[in-house]
Amino acid sequence: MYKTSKNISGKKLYMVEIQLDKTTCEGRFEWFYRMYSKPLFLYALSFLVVEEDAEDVISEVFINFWKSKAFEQIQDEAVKTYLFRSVRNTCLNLLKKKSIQRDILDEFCEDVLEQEVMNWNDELIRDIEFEISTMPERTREIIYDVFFHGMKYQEVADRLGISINTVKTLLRNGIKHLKTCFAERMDLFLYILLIR
Amino acid sequence: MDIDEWINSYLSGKLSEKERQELARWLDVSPEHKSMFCKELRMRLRVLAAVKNSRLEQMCDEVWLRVLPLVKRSRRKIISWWVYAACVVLVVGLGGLLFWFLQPDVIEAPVVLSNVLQTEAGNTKAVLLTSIGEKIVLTDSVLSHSVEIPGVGLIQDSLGVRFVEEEESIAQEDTMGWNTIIVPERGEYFVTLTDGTRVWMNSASKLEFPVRFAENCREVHLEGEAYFEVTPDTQKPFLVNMGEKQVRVLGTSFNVMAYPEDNKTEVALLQGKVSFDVAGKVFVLNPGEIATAERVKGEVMIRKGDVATILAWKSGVFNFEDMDLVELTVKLSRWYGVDFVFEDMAAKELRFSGAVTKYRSLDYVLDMIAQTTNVEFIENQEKIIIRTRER
Repeated sequence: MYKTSKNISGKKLYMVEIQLDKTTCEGRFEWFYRMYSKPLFLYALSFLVVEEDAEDVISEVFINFWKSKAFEQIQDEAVKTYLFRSVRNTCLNLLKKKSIQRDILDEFCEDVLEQEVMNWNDELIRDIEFEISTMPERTREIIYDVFFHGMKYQEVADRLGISINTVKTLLRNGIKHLKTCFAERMDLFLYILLIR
Repeated sequence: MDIDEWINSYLSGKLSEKERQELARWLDVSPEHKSMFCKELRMRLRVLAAVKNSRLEQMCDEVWLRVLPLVKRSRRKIISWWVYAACVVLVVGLGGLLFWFLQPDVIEAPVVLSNVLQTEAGNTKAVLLTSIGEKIVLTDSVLSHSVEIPGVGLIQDSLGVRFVEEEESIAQEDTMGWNTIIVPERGEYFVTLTDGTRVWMNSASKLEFPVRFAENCREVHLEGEAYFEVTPDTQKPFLVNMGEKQVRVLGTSFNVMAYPEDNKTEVALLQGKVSFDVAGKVFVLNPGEIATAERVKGEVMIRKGDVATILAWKSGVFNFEDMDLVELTVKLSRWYGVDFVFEDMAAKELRFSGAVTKYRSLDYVLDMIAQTTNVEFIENQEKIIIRTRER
């Protein structure tokens, strides 16, 4: 199971990377987009929650990036930091415009979130996605309700007609399973984070 | 609330003001609380990312289409020196990598460009035929006018169209009809059905589905190519009918290619389990397997294959692996709405592997092929003639 998913994702990444001609401005620009847009979306969503807002932010950031001198001047390695900073600033501006206050909790979580998205590991995410898809149907439904639809445990329990404790247990077991499944790679991942 | 529910709710932005304060206070109590919270947050963010992965990809593709016209309008001329340096290395490297061929000996200057060759790529568009015979043009913008379909609400957003069942109209006679979505050549479209099943439709494809699904099964008809992400429901299996062939599913993701004019029907399974029923025989597929039914002989073959390659069209990429030029031009003509004619039968045998984004103009794609083989593409009376080049 695990092997298959690894092959699939590996292949796809490889394809995306070679298809773009980085020698042209357009190619280079698209390459950056393909490379970073997904983690940037997740990053924007961590500030904004609403998908439409995140879409606006990402398109604004990339349009500005294309128009600005930054695109020509900064080196590939610095582009990542530039893009993540821009997304952060644009999100904060948008929140200010909507007069939404960020509290201590947000600030506390920000570092963790930023670190996670900056070190986005597409292959790992795809493998987790695949692993979830092979879980028992009930567990999968609960994971989707909680994470995709953002439902509360009680809401999930009501929808599925099961007790809240069953929801908690199944979800906890599901996540525990993922933790054990990816334990090795999670550690490796953290290790990479630490030595940077 | 438990700590893990706190985190989940925090991630989905659903914590109330009171809960936020409570959580902040709890974090303040001890450093252990904090480190435990961080660890869980990290893990859950990854699960969130995994669960939303395909949704995120979809958002990326959508926004790229918004950004792309701007990039095209204002082309940049200045290339800094190090891009130039990289260019030399890349051209040498990429030339060989992008496509590898049977006859890699000729590399000549690109073919002359012309109007047909500059055909823009397809985009998001479709036509909806409602059960009461109304015809509605769907594009990536808002609906041209509001529509009333008995028993069904229609929500159009930037991604496509979503069908929502209306609770109040239970009158059976109103909800017996079928809706049809037709995606023309040069089009692609995304539909969410009333049960939440998501369908990405490729060019030149037709999907028929009932206004309301029956009590015991969810049945749709497909001509052409589509990728399905079926909402799990054990009580109501999902059936995709393609003439005499059928795919039966409970809840899963798979791609179906069933163009009436093609000589094969193909089902590729990404996740879950489906059964492919051909003329009374049942073939069960496991993830990563691709089933092909020959039209004439009716033979069914199941092989392990790269399903991701087959699904690439949905993420805006043409992906072909060891595909012959005939099949490749059929795919291109569906997306660009242009006809190809083989002048040279030898060219039909050429096989290709490679990938290119779908949103380039046709000449870009053909150029890539022409530059690496000895075929050339010439425009003639709105058609594109394919022949092998003189050595």
